[in-house]
Amino acid sequence: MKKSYFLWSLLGLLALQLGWAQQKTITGTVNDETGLPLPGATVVVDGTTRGVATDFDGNFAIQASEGETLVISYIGYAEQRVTVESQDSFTVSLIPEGELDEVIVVAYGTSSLEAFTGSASVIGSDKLIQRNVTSPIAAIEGNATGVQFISPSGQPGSSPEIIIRGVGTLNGDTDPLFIVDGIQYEGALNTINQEDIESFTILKDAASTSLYGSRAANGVVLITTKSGSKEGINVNFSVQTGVVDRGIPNYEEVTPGQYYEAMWEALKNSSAGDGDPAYASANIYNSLAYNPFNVPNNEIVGVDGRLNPNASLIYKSLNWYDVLDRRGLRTNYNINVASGGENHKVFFSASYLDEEGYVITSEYDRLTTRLNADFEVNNFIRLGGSANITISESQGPSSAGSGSIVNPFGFAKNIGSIYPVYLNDLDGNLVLDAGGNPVFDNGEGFSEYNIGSRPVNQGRHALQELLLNDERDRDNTYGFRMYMDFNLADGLNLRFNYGRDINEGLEKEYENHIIGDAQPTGRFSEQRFRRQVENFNQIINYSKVFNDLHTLDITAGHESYARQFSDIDALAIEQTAEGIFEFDNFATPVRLGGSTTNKRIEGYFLRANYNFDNKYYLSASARRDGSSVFSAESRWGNFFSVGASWRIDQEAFMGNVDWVDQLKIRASYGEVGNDDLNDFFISQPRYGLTSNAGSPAIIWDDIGNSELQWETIESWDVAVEFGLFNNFLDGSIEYYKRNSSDLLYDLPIALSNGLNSFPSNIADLFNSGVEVALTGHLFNKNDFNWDVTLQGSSFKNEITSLPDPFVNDSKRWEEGRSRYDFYLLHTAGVDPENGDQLFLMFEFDDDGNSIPVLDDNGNQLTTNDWQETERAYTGDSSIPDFLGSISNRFSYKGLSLNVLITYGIGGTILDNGYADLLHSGTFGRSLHPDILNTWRQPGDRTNVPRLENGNPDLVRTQSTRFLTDASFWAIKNVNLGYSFNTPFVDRLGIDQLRLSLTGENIFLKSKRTGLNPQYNLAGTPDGDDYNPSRIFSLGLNVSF
Amino acid sequence: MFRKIILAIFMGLIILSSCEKDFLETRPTDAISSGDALATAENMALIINGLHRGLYSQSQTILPGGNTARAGNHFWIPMGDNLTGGIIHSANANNLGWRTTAQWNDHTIETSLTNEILWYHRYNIIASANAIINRATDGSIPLDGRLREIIGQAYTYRAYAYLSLVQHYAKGYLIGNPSSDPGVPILFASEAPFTSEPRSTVQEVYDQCMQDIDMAISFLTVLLNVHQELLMENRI
Repeated sequence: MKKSYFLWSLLGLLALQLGWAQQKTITGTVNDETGLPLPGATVVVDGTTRGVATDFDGNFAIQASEGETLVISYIGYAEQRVTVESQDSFTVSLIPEGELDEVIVVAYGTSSLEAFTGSASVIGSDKLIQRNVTSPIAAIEGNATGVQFISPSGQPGSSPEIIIRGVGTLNGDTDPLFIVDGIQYEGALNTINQEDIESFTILKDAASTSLYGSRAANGVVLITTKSGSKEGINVNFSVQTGVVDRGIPNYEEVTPGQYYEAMWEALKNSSAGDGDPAYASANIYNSLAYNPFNVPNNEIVGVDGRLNPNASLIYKSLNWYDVLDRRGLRTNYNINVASGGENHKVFFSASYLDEEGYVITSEYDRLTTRLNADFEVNNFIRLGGSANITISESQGPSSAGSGSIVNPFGFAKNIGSIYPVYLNDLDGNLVLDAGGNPVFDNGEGFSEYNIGSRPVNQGRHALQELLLNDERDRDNTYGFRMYMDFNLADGLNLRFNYGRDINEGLEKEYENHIIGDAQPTGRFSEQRFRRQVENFNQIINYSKVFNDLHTLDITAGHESYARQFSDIDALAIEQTAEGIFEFDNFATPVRLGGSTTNKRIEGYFLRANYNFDNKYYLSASARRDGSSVFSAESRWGNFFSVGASWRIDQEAFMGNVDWVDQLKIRASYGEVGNDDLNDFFISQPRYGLTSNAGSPAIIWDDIGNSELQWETIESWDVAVEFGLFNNFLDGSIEYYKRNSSDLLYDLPIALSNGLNSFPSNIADLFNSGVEVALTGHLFNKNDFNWDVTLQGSSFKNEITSLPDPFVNDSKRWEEGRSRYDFYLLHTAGVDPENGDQLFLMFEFDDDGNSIPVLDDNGNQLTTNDWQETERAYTGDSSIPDFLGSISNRFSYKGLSLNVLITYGIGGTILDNGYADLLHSGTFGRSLHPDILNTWRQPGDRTNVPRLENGNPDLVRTQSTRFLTDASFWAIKNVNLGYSFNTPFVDRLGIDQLRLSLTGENIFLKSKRTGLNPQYNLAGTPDGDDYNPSRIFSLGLNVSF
Repeated sequence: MFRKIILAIFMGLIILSSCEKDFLETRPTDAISSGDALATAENMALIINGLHRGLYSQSQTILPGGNTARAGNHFWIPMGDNLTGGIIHSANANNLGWRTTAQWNDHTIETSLTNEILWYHRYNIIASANAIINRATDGSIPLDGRLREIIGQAYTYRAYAYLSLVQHYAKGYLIGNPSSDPGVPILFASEAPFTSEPRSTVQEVYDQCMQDIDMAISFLTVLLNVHQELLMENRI
C-alpha cells in the first residue's frame, strides 16, 4: 500500500508536471521599434480563440502551452510570431510595416532585403531629399560602401564618376552599368531629375550582378523612378535657390616681389648669368619683361638678390582669379503629382534648373518632365511604362582640355605673379580703350608702357579668349519604357520590358578672330550626335510557397541590347559678320566628318531563388551573352553565380538571445564579364577612312585581334548583417575579393611596329576589401532623435599575372604590385655644395627590375644626374587605404539636421599641380611659396634645389619629391530643415511644409592647399581644371 | 484559360523571332577592314595617299596615341634646320613647344615627345609600306602598271623613313663608324607577336635605304618606260 501510494504520488506529480507544460501563464511586454510600450496590441494564441490586449504599459498575460505560437499584432506594425517554450515572459518589439519587408530593386525584379543573398547598398528618396545635387549620382558619395569617387568638374551639370569595388581592368572602362527602370541607360546622369528618383540600388557582388552578365564587371547601379500612389492625389512642390562658389581653394603663389627675387636667382645661376649677381640685377627685367614696381627696370633687385626696399607694387589686376571667378546663382523648381485609384497609378513631374558656375560664362539650365503610369487591366494583365524628356543647355570654358593653352584654369594658375590680366600704364593704372573698358594684356609687348614681350604665352590670353569665344551644348534626352505583365497561372508571370533612350546633342563652338587659335579669321565648329539605346527583354517568373516552408522563385529570360551612335562634325573658318555663330557666317569649310557605330548584345538568363522557412536562402543564376565586339568564334560567354544566406535570428535557439534583433550571414561567388575596351570593333583589323588634300585615303590604325574574348571577373563576397540591443545598433561587415582574368588589355608594343598597341587578353589582377557600415540609434527620447552612421571601406589591388612589366606614366605594372604603384625617380635631398637635386642610384638587374646601387658599406649611392639612375618603386600607391563617411542625423520635433563628412586615409598623390609651381626658374611661369627655400649658396641644407633658368635636370616631376599624402576629410553635405506642423498650415490644406538650408562641398581639408585628392584614380592632378563648386541653398518644400 | 494559352504562344513567337542571325554582326563606318584595304591596287593607292597625309598632319589624327604638339613635317623639317643651321631664336617664347628643342634639351631626354613621335611616325610609314610591298609582290594581284606605281612608291616611302630614322637616332655616317655604330631596327612586316627587331648597324640601315631606292627606281622606271612607249605609240 505504501508502495502504491508512492507510485500514485509519482504519477500525480508527473500529471501536474504535464499539466503545467500544457497550460501556463505567459506574461510579456509589447514595445514599438523605439522601445516605447504599445497599449492595445493584440496577443492571440495561433489557431485558437484565446486572445488578450496589452494594457496601457504594453503588458499582457495569457494562458498558453509549450509549442503553441503567440501572434502579436498592432495596426501599422508587422505581426510577429513567438513560439512558446520554457520561458514564462518575454518582450516583443514590433517593427512598422514596410520596414520589416523592405523591398529592394534587384536585377530584373525585386526582393525583400531579408531574402537577398547578394551585396547591395540602397539609397532611398529620404536620403536624396537632403541633397542639392544636379547629378543625382553625387548623392551616393558617403552613403554607400565600397565606392570610390572622382570629383565632378565645377562646370554646372557635371557628374562625378564612381568606381565600385576597385578598378578591375587595366585599360577598359570603369563605369558601372546604369539601369533606369529596368533598361540600360547610357545618357548623361544629370538628365535625371533628383526628385524623380525613388531609390538607387548599388549592386556590388556577383550574386547580385551576374544576371547582367557581360555588362556587370564594374558593378551595377539601378535607378528606380517614383510611381503614382493609389491613395488620392498628392502634389509636391519644391524650390531651392542658392549661391555657387569655389569648393577647393587655389594653390598658393609667391608675391610679385618674391617672384622677382626668385627669378633673379634663376638668372644669376643660368649659363648666361654664370653666377654673377650684377649681371642678374642688370638683366632680370629683360628676362621677365614686366616691371610692376615704382623703381627703374635695372634697380628692381639688388646685387644682394633682395627686392629694392623702395620698390612698391603699383600694378593692378595681378590676381587672375579675381576676373575668372564670380559668385554663381542656382535655382531649381520642381513639381510632381502622384495619383491613382483602385487599379491604376500615375506620376507626373516637371522641373527647371538654372545654375551658374563660379567661373565666368559657365552656365547650365535644364528642363525635365516625366510621366510614369501603371495599370491593372484585369486580373491577369498589368501594363504601364514611362516617358521622359530632358532638355538642357550648357555653356562654359573651352572643352579643349586641361593641357590646352585656352584652358583658363591652367593659364591663370601657371602665369607668374607679376603678369596682369589687364594692361597697366607706367603709373600702374589700367589702360582703357575708347569705350572705357580695360584692355587685356596679351603679352605681345607694349614698349610705350615699359612692357616687353611676356616670356610665356605671348599673343594669348585665356580669359579674354574665354569671354570672346562661345561654346555651348544643347542636349535633348527622350526616354521611353513600357512593360506588359501577364499572370498566366498562379505564381507564373510573363513580362515584357521594352525601352528606348535617345540622347541628342548639338555642340556649337565659336573661336574668336581677335586672339587665339582662330586668329585672324575666326573659326566655328559644330558637332551633332544621336545615341540610341534599345533594350528588350522577355522574362518568365514562377514563384510559389510550398507547405508554408519552401519558397521557390525562378526567373528565366532573354534580352537584346542595341546601341547606335551617329555623329557629324564640321569646321569652317573666315567669319563674315560679328556675333553670328552659325555656318552661314563662315566662308570656308575645312572639315566635315561623321560616322555611325553599333554595338549589340544578346543574352539568355536564368535565376533560381529558394528559401526554407525564411531562414535559409539559396540563389543561383546563369547567363549566356554574345557580344558584337568579338569575332563570331569567340563572342559567346557564360556567366553564373551562387549565393546563400542564413538568417540566424529566425532560429529557435536565438529566441532567448534578446540582445540580437537581427542576424544574417551571407556568401556568394560568381563570374561576370566585360567586353568594353572603349572600342566596339576592337577585334577587327582596320584602316581608318580619311583624306589627303581632298583625295580619298586610308590609314592603318587598328591591328585587331580575332581571338579576343571576354574579360572575366570572379567575385567572392561574405558578409554578416546585424541589428543588436533592441535595434540600438545595426550594420554590416563585408569582405570581398574580385579576381579579374583574361583582362582585355591594349598591350603596348614597340613603336617600331608602326602602331602602339595590340588588343589582347593577357593579364590577371584582383581587388579586395572590407566594408563596414554601422548605424547607431544613439538617442530617441522626448522627440529628440540622434542617429549616427559610420561607413568605411578598404581597398587593395594587385596584378597577379602580366607577361612583361610595363611602365605606364608614373606607375609600373608588374605581378605582385598594384596597377597604381608609383614608379619614380627617388630624390635624395639637395647637394649642399652646389644645389643639385640628388637622386638615389638604381640600376636594372638582368630581369629589368631596378635595384639599389650600394657602396662598400651597404649605403645606397646618390647621383646628381637623374639620367644616370633609374626609376624604382616608391612603395606608394594612389589607392587610399580607407575611404568612408560619418553621417549624423539629428531631429527634434519638426527640426532636423544632417551632417555628412567624408574622409580618405592613406594613399599617395603625385602632385603635378604643385610640381608645376616649383620649376627651376622658367621665366614667366608662376611659383609656389615653397620656392623661397631654394638652395642659394654652398652649405645650404634644403630640399629645394637651386634655381637655374634653362636647366631641365634640376626638377624632375616624375620623382618622389612631389609625392603627397592623399588623406583628406571633407564636410560634404549639411542639411538643416524645419517641417511646420501647425494648425495654420493644416488650415491652408497643406500636408507638409518644409524649409531647409543645404550646403554641398562645404569644406575640404587635404594635405596641401589647392590639392584635390579625388581628381583622378591615378593620383596625378595637374591642378589646372575646373574644381568642384560649393553650393549653399535655401529650399522650400510643400505637399498638399 | 484559352486566352492565356494563345497569349503564351504568341509571346513565345516574339521571343524566338527576336533572335535574328546576324544581330551580332556589326561593321565600323569610319574604317574598312585590313583585308579589303590590301585587296586591290586601287585600295593600296588609298594607303599611299594616307602616307602622304601623315607627312603633314598632326600626329594624333593619324596615330593612335599621337599628340597635337608635333605637327608632322611642319615640325620636323624646321627642327632639322634650326638645330643644324645655327639659328638663334631671338624670342624666348613661342607657343609651339620649340624651346626645349632649340635649347638642345629635348633629344637628351629619353621620354621626350619629340623623340617618341618622330620615331613612331617614321615606323608607321614603314609598316604600311611593308604591308603594301608584301601583298603586292606575293603574286596574287596582276602586276600591271598601276600596281608597279604603287610598289615603287611604297619602296620610296620605306627608304625615306629609314633614312630619316638613321639620321635622327644614330651617329652620323661620316663622323661615326657605320659598320659598328648601332642604327635602328629594320622590320619587313608588323605581325604578331610584335616583338620588333634589334638595332641594325648604321651601315645596314643605309644599305637597306639604297636597296629600297633601287627597287623603287626599277618599278617606277619600267612604269616610266611603259608611259614613254605609250606616248611614242600615240605619236605614231
